[in-house]
Amino acid sequence: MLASAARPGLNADWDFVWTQWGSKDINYTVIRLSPERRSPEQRRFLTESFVDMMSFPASKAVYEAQGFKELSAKLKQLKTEFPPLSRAQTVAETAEPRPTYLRVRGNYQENGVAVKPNTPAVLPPLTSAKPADRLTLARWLVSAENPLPARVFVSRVWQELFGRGLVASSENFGVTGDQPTYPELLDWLASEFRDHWSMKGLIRLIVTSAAYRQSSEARPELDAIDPQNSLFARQARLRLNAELIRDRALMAGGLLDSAIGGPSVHPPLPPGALDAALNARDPKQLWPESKGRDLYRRGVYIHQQRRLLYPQLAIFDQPGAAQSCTRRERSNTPLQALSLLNDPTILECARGFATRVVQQPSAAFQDRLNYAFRIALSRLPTEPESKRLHEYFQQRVEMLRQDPEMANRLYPARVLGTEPIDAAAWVGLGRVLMNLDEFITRE
Amino acid sequence: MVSNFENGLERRRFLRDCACGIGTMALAHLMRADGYLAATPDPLGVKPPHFPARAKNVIFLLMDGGPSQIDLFDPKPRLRENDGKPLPESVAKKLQLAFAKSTAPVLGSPREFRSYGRVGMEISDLMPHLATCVDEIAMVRSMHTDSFNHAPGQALLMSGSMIAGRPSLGAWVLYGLGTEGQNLPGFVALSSKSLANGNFGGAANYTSGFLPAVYQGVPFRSSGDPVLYLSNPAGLDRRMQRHDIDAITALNQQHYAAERDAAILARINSYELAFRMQASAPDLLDLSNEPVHVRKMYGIDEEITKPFGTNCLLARRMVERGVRFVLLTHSTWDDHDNLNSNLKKNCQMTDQPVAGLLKDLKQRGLLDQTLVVWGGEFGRTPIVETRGATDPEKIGRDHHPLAYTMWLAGGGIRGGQTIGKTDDFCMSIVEDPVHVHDLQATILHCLGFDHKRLSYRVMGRDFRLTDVAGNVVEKLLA
Repeated sequence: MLASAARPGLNADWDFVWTQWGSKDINYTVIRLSPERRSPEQRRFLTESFVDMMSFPASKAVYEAQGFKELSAKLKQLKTEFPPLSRAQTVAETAEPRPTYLRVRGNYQENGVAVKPNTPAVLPPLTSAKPADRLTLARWLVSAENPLPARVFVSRVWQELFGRGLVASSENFGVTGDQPTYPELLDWLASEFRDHWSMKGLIRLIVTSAAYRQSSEARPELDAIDPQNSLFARQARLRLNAELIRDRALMAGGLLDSAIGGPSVHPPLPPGALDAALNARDPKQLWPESKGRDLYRRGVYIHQQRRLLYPQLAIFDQPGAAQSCTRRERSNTPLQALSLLNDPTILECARGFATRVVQQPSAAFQDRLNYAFRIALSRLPTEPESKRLHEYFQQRVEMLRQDPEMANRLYPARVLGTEPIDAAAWVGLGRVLMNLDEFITRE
Repeated sequence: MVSNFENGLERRRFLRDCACGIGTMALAHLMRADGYLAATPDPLGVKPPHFPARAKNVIFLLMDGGPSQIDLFDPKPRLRENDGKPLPESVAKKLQLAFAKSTAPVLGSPREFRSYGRVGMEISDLMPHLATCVDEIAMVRSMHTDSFNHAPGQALLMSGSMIAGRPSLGAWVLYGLGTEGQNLPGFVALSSKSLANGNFGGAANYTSGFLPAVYQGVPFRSSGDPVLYLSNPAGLDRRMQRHDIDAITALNQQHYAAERDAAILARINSYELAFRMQASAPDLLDLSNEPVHVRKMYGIDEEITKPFGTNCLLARRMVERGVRFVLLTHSTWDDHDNLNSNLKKNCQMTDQPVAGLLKDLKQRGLLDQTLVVWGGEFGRTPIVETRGATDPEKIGRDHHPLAYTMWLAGGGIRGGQTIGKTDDFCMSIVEDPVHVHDLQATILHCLGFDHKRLSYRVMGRDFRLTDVAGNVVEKLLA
């Protein structure tokens, strides 16, 4: 190909390949690099292009005889099977660290005294004599003399499991932060963690403790002594994080895809969500809506960007990505109620839920309600709950009988052997269960 | 307006708000019996400010992109005299610009200015309607800011810091005062545009930042539901919604009886509020019962003024219904090119509605208690920026953070005055500079707050809107 490039006109086919393929400057650059200087990605790129392009200069017979046809087909197949290679940015130390200054009152244009990397005086000094680079910092962080990172981490894990850290101000272990409620416990957990650095081990240690396994029921006798429950005399009722609320509804509806990993997903946005938040030039490019199973992936896989939070998650206090967050809010707003009541995803979950319930072999209301409670709340209903919901169910069936068209709209799927009004009433009951405080709360 | 849990007014309101739906008497009984009501103060409940306030509500008219003060509010005959010549060297070297070269020629304004009102305030011929309101407004010709680019500039204006993510002005106000009309969000964001692209600040302009999420602004959307998930899902009518909520409330109550967690009571209340919001928001948006003369004031029946006019009218209706803070964004005034035609269009879209809003607020007695703020993240340069164009109709002005104009009106503000002075080239301020932090301190002052004391502890220190700066501009106050 290079020969053809140097002497155009020698071979018309190769000329064609050169002009076609070389129409991008980057391709010229790659092919002119000496082979040993090409990166693995560039080599791969060249090989693929070569296989692709051979159909032009080679005759059909040669192309097939030399196996290019199969090669090309195989490459195509591999491409569909495996995701394209991606690049990851990384950083490297400069040989000569550039000078760093204190910025006077935070003004980046005003240099104060020159500073060198070191650790705050209240913490242990850097452990090695090596240059104060990132590797030294990493070693210092996990050194036996430095108790802080392990303490911060175990307190954070505690916070996720109890709703409040052993140090309540999980973002601040300094003098202006909160005092630990159990300093000995914090230190013991920190030293256990530091011995293995195993998150799984740490979480197992905590969740198998008597403290974790306490009931979350309120204990009025403690109200005067410890209203914030900072001493953990009982477990806490915790409203679930935004992502888990969605997961739980999908789970109850039998829709959740619990696959791990892969690219982020883009479940549908409510109309107008893009124009309110962004310079939306091409919404489809900005938010390429997912299809199929991707609609039901776990909430943690929903695409995030700084200027656009997924509304349903933001309503349930998913923090913006512009600032770091160590503790999430747990707010309680009418917008949350609207979201759980009216989000089409929740209605879809309620439909899935109804399908699961009406497919139960027993048609008795109580049997079905028991099943419904188990899949939605992991427990059986109490007697007053059964009574109230039985009343609800009968009323709803009556309402739907008066308006059968409504039943079809609420439960459009035709599942063999189900009575539409019955199924539509279970959709309503599923919606009721998914809107309970208990449904979005860990108790 | 001032009430709190100690004197029981909040409790009464809370119970009244709960008093629809089945079984709420039992709920009220439970709450009284346990004293849980006092243990969980409503974060959005009305709270008293530091001192008696002049204003209760804010309508912030955010003119996204940076309107040209030179063509609207701050006439500079010297620019016309020097049109096409370079700036004097002493003036040019101060320049810190995003795009234009500091050697670019001076651009005189083709606009004609006349004096209006008691004090003879000068207003450009592009804003004939605002010119009839000058006795209400305090013009600040000496605004300055720290950023010459949009996103950090808007972040500074709306949250006190150039780095996006701090709580927005509206969130601070809601945090400080709570809200009176709980059938609607306490902080609402509305937007309109003259060009296809959206606004520069985006959600950062109404974020709650590190404040609790209940103080976040709720964007009312121009398409779909105005408030997310406001309407019932397809196939479900209001009777069924009520039927479902009754069952949800009943089961939540039963669960509360076992668990005794006050959060469940708050959840029950949220569902009642949500149900009422479903009725009150459409009522808010239904402009059909506004009389013809009011519709005319805002221009909502004319195509050009309709988008912004509708938002202005909504802002008034929200304020009437107790919404604390309305952020009304119009984009974009970022006229790097086509300055004349773009300015004309934006003024045609907004001038009459803004004047309509001021007059309507006044005739309803709402202007005294509503603070209206108009302005963008910065102004525009006295020199030309030519993006490939030389045609005088196609050229524009660059970003100018050092001297620009904003105005305020209403609660707490002394109208009919011009504050501050810029030099002959509108390059820098020669009298009464007002930094963005000073503006914020003044806005909070009108609402009854000492900006140094309205703070929130996070990351180990007390944060406030004005960070470590800001002085109340006494001249602005009534």
